[in-house]
Amino acid sequence: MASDNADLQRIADQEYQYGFVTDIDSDQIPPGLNEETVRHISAKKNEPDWMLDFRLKAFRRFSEMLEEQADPTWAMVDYPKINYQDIIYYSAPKTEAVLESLDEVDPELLRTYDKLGISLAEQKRLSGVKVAVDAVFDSVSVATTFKSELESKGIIFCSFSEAVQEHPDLIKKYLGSVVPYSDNFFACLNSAVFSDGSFAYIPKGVKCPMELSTYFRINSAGTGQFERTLLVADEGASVSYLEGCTAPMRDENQLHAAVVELVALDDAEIKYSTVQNWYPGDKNGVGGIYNFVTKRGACRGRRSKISWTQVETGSAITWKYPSCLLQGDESIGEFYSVAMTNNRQQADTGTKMIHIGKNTRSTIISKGISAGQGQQSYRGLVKVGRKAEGARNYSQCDSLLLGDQCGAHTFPYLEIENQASTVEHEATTSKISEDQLFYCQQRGLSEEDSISMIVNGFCKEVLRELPMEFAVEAQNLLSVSLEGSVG
Amino acid sequence: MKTAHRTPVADLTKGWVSEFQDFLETRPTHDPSKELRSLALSHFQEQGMPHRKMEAWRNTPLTLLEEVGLFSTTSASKRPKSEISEWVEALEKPEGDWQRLVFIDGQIDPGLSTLSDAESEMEWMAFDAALAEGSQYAPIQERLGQLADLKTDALAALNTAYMQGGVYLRIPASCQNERPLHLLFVSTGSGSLRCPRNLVVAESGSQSSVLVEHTVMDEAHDLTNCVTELFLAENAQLQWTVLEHASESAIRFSDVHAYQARDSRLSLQLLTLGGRLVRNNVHVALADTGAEVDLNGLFLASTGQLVDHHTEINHAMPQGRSQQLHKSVLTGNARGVFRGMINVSPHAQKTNSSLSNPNLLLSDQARIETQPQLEIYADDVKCSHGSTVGQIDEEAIFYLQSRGIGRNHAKQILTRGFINEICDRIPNKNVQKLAYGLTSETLESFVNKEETI
Repeated sequence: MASDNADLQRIADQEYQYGFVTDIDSDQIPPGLNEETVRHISAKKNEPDWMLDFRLKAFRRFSEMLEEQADPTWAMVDYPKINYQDIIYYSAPKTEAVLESLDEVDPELLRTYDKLGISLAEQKRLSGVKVAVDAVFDSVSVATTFKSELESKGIIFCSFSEAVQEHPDLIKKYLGSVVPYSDNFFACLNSAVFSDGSFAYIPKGVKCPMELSTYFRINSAGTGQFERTLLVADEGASVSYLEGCTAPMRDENQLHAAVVELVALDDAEIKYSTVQNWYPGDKNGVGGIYNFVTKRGACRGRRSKISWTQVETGSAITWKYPSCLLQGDESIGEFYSVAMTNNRQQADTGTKMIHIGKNTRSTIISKGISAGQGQQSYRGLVKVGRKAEGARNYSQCDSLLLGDQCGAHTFPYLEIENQASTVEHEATTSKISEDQLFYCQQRGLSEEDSISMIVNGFCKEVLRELPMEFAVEAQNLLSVSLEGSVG
Repeated sequence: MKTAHRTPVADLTKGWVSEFQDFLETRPTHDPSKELRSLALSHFQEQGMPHRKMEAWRNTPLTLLEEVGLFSTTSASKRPKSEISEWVEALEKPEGDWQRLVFIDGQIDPGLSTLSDAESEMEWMAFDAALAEGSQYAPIQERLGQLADLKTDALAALNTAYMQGGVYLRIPASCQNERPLHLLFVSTGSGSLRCPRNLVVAESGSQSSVLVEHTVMDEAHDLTNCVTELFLAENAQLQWTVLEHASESAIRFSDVHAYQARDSRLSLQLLTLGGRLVRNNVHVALADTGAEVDLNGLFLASTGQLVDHHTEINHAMPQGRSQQLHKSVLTGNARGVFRGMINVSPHAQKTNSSLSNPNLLLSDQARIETQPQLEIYADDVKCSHGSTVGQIDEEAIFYLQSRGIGRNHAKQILTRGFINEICDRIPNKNVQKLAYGLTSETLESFVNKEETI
């Protein structure tokens, strides 16, 4: 028994391996949110007037929402009211001048990313697989790799601030076109104070030769991270995009309110994968990131396709609903999700598939795993508009319960206004069967390994949608997150 | 259609509140329920009518009430008694030997009712009479309002304030389903608000079968707001079938609450075949170990109708079982809403619960909003729900056509088959037969109206 306890202790201690803090000078503005903060952020980034106007419009709407107390309370998550005046809205590593090349990036920063397993040096990861990374550290993007190679194909991949300076026409055209500034409480806050993020544009007919990736890292205490990602795939283009995130272990809750907008034109294809591993808080629910994210993609063109894949293992609270607006005829939306809640984590996540064009199709596969005292909800909408003839949807939501104090909930909404459409939704909730466990253990696997194996099997349909290097990471993450939940 | 004059919902609420004192005076002076009624009214006044900002009502606009106008709580039927009697006599009834209680606009009509004198059978009392007779009030008071919450459910509060008509039923252990009971509620169209209330106590080990039928004469504009509370003691078995075939102008709200003790078994069927605006809530509490419920629902709706079924099953204790099948067929510009919540609390290990909700849309304009929901706090459970929306399979139509059956007829056969699965689940064979007949009639009326089937 004693050795068991020691083992458990060891596991509990190593639960979150990205919890370190990088000691680096940062340029911060004082906490608080007012018009001055917004102007200040905009000025820091040297933004043109139209960008500032966009922020101010959003700020005014957000102020109204604050007054109306319009922060969403419908989700099945429980957290104390956030004081938006206590948050630091801008924090950046101190830099002397504009960086010309990677060599000028603070070596401390490069070491941080190395430690996270994200190499910013332009070398090949795994064998032969190239990934272009935009690294976002607190409020700013610190480095983007493989830029020149991408440029030769006409692909734009850079930080959002850079795009505002270099490609204002594209930003003006697409910013807020999928998630308007007034869309919801957190998107509105983001629109006012977003500090950086990634922008990618894939021109007509180009297949992006490598995975694009953004790596988000929260470092400073007391800050919120508000980044914005905008991805445009022009006619016939295709791209696969990865997103990862980590944060230090702290006793406070930090807010992460991001917005992701995707636009796919005729015949374009976007695959967006997320492995979310923000600090989940300790086993008593102290600390952790509030991950309140708005993600939406618009399939504007005919035969366009947007596919969301997410593995959500981190964050104290997850509140996100990656959605697809299927506007173009014959467009396709997909959502593959694994969400894992352990200890006192809470997740309310799902998707919206809005069928507007004819013969549009969508698939939803959602796998929820709840352990410890974790609470987990799938909340999704499938809407078939009046003109969406021949629309087809299939949804499947399975929940796995490990332990008798966790909860799994399913709230699908189906709104169908067209008879020539077919919509199916199925959900199941169960626990790992004793028979399965016994079978594995009988063949010499430990209980923990058996559970890990069964959970990975349960998630297989989703994990196989991930790009290869992410799939490996995701499997490891699931095992780590499960540790300590057995016995 | 009376669209020129609209009465805002808020005015309806005010009207019902201001009429209350007059209504109280019509009650017998020693009516012991007056205090409860006044309390209920104050709760109703506090909450007002439900509105679309409430999650449970987001798809069900009550603005439809506005078109119909004011519903008085006191107006009496304008029809001669003989006409009503003839109409009720002519109504198709389930075959077999039944006890029958007929309520005309909420008042029991002894002439039309057929009653039993066998001792083993159910003991019933018209709800009003039971209330007025002080001696009977104690057992009622013990249960009344235990399940329907006045503070959170405005319609239950409204019902409690104005409850009139309905039945208090005590089913003794000696009752072993010898003769089923038929409760027939008829609205004659006096433009009034009716609040029937049923209270049923199935004692331990009893077995019984009840058919509740709500119907409306011709094009009657009535608002019925019915609340039923069912208490099943240990090992009690109750079959409760609700059949609603109202005219296209009637508005109905109904709440059925069931409380199930250890190893009790409830079989509840809910068929809605008419009505302009219909909202049915079913709440079942599986309050002790081994309780089981079978809950099946069906609604057929065409142009101008909105039908909304909400069900909620609470598994509170271990080894409960619930099984649900809800279907709908919509045509014309009908709107359908379904929400089915299954709640499994931390103690309810070994729960087995399933819900299936297939919906059939027969026209371009029909709409359905469906939300099957699971809220689960126990780990050793088997729960599933499924929901589908679709149209009649072209291949199946082709198959029938290739065998010489006309397209419209083929569609009818397939729709019939879709509906039959629900009718088949009605445990009483005679009621089943009645349901087949009534659903067929409704389907035929669809054909005459739309030609889309």
